[in-house]
Amino acid sequence: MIFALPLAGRELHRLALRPRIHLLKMIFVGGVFSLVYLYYQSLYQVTTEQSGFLQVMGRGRDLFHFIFRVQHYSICLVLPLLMSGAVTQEKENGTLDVLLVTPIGPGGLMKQLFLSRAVPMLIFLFILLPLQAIAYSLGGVTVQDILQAIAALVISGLAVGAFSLAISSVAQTTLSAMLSVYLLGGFLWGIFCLPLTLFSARLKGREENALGAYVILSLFIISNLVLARVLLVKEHFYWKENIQSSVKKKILWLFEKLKLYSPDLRVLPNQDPLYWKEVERCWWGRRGLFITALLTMSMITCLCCLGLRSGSVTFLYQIHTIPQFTLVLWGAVFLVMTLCSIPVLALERDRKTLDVILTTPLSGREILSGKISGLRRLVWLLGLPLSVSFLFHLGLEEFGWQYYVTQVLLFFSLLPAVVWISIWVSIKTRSRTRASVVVVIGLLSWCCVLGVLTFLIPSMKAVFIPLNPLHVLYAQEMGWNQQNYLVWVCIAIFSLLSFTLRAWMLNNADRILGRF
Amino acid sequence: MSMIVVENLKVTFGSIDAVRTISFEVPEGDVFGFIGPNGAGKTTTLKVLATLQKPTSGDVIIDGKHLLADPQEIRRVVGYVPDVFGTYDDFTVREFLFFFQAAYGIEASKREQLLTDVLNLTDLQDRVEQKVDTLSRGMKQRLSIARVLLHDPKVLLLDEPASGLDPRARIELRELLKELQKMGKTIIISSHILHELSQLCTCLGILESGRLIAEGSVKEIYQEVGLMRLIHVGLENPTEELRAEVAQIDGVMDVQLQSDRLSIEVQEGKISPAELLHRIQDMGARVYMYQPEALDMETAFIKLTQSP
Repeated sequence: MIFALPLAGRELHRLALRPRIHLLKMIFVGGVFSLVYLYYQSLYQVTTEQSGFLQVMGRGRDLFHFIFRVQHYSICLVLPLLMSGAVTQEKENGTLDVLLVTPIGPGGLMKQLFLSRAVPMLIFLFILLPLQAIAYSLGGVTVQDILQAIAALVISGLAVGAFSLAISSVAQTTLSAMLSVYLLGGFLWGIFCLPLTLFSARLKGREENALGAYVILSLFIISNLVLARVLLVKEHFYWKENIQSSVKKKILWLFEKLKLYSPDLRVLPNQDPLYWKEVERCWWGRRGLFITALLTMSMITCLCCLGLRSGSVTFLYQIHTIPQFTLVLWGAVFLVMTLCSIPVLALERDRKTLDVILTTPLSGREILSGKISGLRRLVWLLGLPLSVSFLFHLGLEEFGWQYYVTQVLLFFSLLPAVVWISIWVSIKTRSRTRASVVVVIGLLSWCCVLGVLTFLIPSMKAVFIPLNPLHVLYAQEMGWNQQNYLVWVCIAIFSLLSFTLRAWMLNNADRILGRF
Repeated sequence: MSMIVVENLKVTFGSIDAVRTISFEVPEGDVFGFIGPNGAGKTTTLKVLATLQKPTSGDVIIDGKHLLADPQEIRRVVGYVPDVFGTYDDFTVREFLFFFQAAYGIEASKREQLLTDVLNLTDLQDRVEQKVDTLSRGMKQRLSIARVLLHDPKVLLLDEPASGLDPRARIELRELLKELQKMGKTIIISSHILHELSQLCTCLGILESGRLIAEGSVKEIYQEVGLMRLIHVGLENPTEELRAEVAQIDGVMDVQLQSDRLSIEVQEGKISPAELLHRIQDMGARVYMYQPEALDMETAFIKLTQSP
């Protein structure tokens, strides 16, 4: 085994054998090369229009900066997909107990799991070196810039990886780990972007002392690795229950004290058992608790928007901050909906309870519609805070009531489409982790490919833009009102898609669920 | 009358034949045991009967209804327990059983009484408010059986019900299944724990690589494989002459003379232990101990499944 690291060796071997990892690399490289090509094209057009072809020489620094930013954001977005399953997959396979009693020990386990995921991350980084070489050949980039860029990217990657590993050590499932990494990671975005900020400042000629920042990041990495080990040991050997379950219980206890929830008031199923299981039995099935959660989330969004508004020095800055915040919210909503839709049937299948339900006289349609009833509540739970952030746009010049209406309609057309696609993929895919990677990467690739096509074939804009929700949402948030009719086309397309998918899946539910 | 009729059932997954044209019948009230190694096709066959797997070809009739023509009706007469429990661990026992009562459309007014009845039958009445994940494996298995009894099915399909259970839980499960048999349920039970099936089943089917290589009552299967029964006879006067005389009896295959006894190997079906005892006593032997060993289903299974 590689360097007497059996676990790291096994993981690397396994990752190397997985076709989806290679597919991910191809998509990643294809996407980044396309983006850089588009950027280069725009750079070339601007400079040659101004003062001839040779003027592109010496502009390598701009291209280099762009490549660096793309690499950095890619690491921050893709690495959690690889890293968050490191420990949870061992838990799900039931192999964690076996590994913990081997001489590898918890510390070694963490080290090897971290290493096994860090190597693919480095491959993702070095795969783009030819692009940096192109930037270097255009001039304006020094060797020191390249070395510093690599150092900054490696340290960002290690920080994201260590954080993902810490979350993975306490999460129960890979899906919950992924969700937690993305959502909690959002709060630590500033830390992960520290190398980017410092390096961008350097490229713009504002040399800042990076040493302090790198020390902070190194401490962050070490503390996360130590935390991951400590949490794993504590949870496995000392604590009675999983930290997630314990937090959930504490929250419910708090609500119980506030007289918003009572565990004794549990109703038993009456007519629709799956609706009872997915809604009535859960906390969001209690009206008081659901309304409280809705109001709390809306209040938090409201406070964030108010903070952004009052914190923005100029009106021009407001135009950027609130839409950017809304875009982040959109991203979070899509992620949560995708990752919550995937286990709806896949979890029943994995626990064999789906087989048991399928032998009852309930029709496939009843089973499927009962199972998604919980997701409907979730749509409301996520939709109201998002609509609060839409309301904050109304005070800005570019946005009117039409913006609000189209955004709400986009929400109700795009979200169901994502839900149905996720459910379908989860049924067709053997593991939940694979299903989530397929859906997330698939949707992002779809948007990126359409984005590239829009740029390459401008005459077909009217076809590509409505098919690309990312483009439409971005345009909406940036207040590009000139192609407003395309938003309506987008709403119509995705409403039709949602409706068709829903009708097809409900009508063929028995076959899709695997019975006849 | 046959409750279950399986005719030329075949199930293929791509290029793999999971079940290769098997046929059998199970009369009403019988307990039919499916024996076979892992991957023999037991679970696939049970899944077909439970309407969870569409057969590639062949026909299945349960309670007079054709599987492909009327799967919804078949679901009402069949209760299926998968090889893993198929329980919701965060439910209480009451919630779990109420959930399935609602799924089977049982009237709300009857549910509480039905719950009490099935819990009494499965001896889980004290666990009604307990969370499912706090139950032992044996209790979870009994809860699964309680679940399938809710809609009073005529046929029970149990896939490896004793797997992973301790001896006490196995005995409890066996007693429960005997009780269900007395209630007139037709039961198909799959297992690779052979001893247990031979004690419980009225009829057995031995599956290997998707083929039904033997079918019949336990006795018929022992006869089919020509299984030997070993009988220990304690004698006050063991002699070489007596040993030679016993060896001449029709059906006796081998006789070993030991210090105080004869060890006799008898071909099953040719001569009964009672008749052999009578014949030995007629020869003037003074018998102080007579101990026929129980027949071993594992040996029968190995014999049936070994390569020619």
